[in-house]
Amino acid sequence: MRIQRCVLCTYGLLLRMYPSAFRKRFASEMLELVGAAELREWPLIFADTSVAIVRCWFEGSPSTAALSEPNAYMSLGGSSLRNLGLGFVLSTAIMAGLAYMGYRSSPPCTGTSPGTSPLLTHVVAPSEAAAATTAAFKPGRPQR
Amino acid sequence: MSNNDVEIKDRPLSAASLHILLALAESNLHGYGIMQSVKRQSGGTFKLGPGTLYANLDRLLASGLVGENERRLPGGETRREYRMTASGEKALRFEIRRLRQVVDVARTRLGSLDERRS
Repeated sequence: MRIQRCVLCTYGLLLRMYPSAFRKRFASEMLELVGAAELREWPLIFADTSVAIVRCWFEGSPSTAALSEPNAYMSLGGSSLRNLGLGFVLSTAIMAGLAYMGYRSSPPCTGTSPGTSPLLTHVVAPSEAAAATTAAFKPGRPQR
Repeated sequence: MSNNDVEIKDRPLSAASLHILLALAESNLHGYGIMQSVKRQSGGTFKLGPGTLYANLDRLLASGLVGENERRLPGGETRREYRMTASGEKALRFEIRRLRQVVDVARTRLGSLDERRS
């Protein structure tokens, strides 16, 4: 119950991002609808509403302005600059989401102490290195 | 032929608009009712989120394909219901005719593909 109230509150904040005319007309119905939704549907609802808000700002809403032509139909053309902007915003959002998912799924850091870190190499003393080199180049031993 | 008819014939409806009109062809519905009806009529394959639903309703209302009524509930509250208009019915019929043509072509071509393979 408490989670549901939190989610509805967050959804209410998300709805504030709609143009005001659209919000005044539909926000209360949308909130009602989300209140009736199941818990597992909420991620889809949030994603759907976020994309719809971006589209509403880029493509315009009939509630916000009287359009010269009806646009209930699938858009087949439209302004290329607007489409470019919409594509940029959506692709940035998708890239950010993927980067965040990659960050969340990366293995945890194992620590930086020299004894435990696999990235730090063992430092060899000069005398030790010289002995190893002499052993490797002993006369009579075939060299590669 | 009126301008509206030309508009309806020349531009296909979006998938969401088509499903909303199909839902409203059955009866007048409020937002939640439309969502449930779309889910049912598509066998659960097409789910409308509230963002998509109201963006499409907004456009359908503006283009006159859908109308709205206020219905008074027994408790005194009012609920907004949506209904399909005559233009909406015409647009739906055109769209279904167009889809039927697509299905006919697809059936013929896929049938000839099957014949070539067998």
